[in-house]
Amino acid sequence: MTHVAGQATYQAALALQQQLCEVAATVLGCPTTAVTLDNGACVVHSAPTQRLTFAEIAAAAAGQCPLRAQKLYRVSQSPHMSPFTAQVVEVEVDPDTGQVTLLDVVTAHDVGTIINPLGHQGQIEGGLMQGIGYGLLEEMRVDEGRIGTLSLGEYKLPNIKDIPPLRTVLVQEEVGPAPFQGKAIGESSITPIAAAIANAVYDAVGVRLYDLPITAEKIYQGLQSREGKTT
Amino acid sequence: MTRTITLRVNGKEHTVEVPVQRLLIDCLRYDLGLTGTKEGCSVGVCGACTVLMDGQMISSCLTLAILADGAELRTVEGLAQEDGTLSPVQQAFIDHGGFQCGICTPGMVTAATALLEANPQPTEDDIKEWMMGNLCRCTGYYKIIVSIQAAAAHQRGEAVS
Repeated sequence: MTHVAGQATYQAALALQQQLCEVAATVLGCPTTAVTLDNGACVVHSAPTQRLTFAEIAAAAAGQCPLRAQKLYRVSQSPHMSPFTAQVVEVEVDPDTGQVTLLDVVTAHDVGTIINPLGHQGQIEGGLMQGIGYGLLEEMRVDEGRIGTLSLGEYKLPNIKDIPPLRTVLVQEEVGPAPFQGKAIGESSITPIAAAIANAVYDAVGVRLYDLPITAEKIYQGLQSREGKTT
Repeated sequence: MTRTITLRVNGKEHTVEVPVQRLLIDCLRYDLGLTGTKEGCSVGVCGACTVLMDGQMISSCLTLAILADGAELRTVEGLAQEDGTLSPVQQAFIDHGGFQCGICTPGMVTAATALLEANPQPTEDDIKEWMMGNLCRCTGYYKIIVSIQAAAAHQRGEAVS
């Protein structure tokens, strides 16, 4: 969103700005390059008292040209630039039941210019919990072609009590393909956490799981078979 | 078979004739036009449809409208003041990123309002305990906790001054 929709919006806004300045310059009788935008109006650089509000510009343009801009942006236009993410998780596994508890999570992101800090952090936290859901809880069961999880009563999403302590690390460099050197953040925190949990579980109890979600039942079975017991 | 029922919703009385199997959420949304309350899971586990019936949180997707006959209901439309000024909980959800897509938000702010009425100084654990019946896919819940804490602090501040 930030990258593709942002660039299309940004470039269309620049084109519209150019149109506004052209109309204003005609009305004010000066070259277009002498006009700049300032707080909802076009003003002349050298004589800031000469100004036209957007409404006045629109009125002047009425009947001549529509003030409208359309821009197409393709990702292939930009240099390839992936956002990187690293996540660390500390888990506790109950050896009697296989139940996993997340004790601590660190999520680290390489980021460009952060355009909306609240929304940016919201994307990180929301993505993380979605990844934890896929990692530990969410399973669409299919039995002979029939979906077994028919509602949110059976398909378990994380609730507010499932959130682990979280620390976020932002490694910022003002280089990115989005407007103002921003970088994508949405969803990049979903992906690594399930793998981190699987590795932490292996580190904790020696059970290696390759399929999600990492449920207590699977870990318990793994513990039993490791000890040579059958369940 | 229909029944005529009287609901008091956000202080206004409504008399409607409903089929006996009419769900409260459908009565609110389609008979009364109060579309702020959202239907999420339809099975009472996601909390999106939360409304307050005689002060208690209920899932309006599981409650028959006729069971609310004579009851006092509060929905998300009734949280702000008459002049449109948002409640401290609503404002805090905006200021602190307590929502993203918004489908869970009516239920979240209604549940959080009920929490702060029952417990004006909730701990983080109190908030988690109270809000665990409201699912959110977008925020990861962290900012919902921050929002409720901020609303609680704001309300306490008002009470002091």
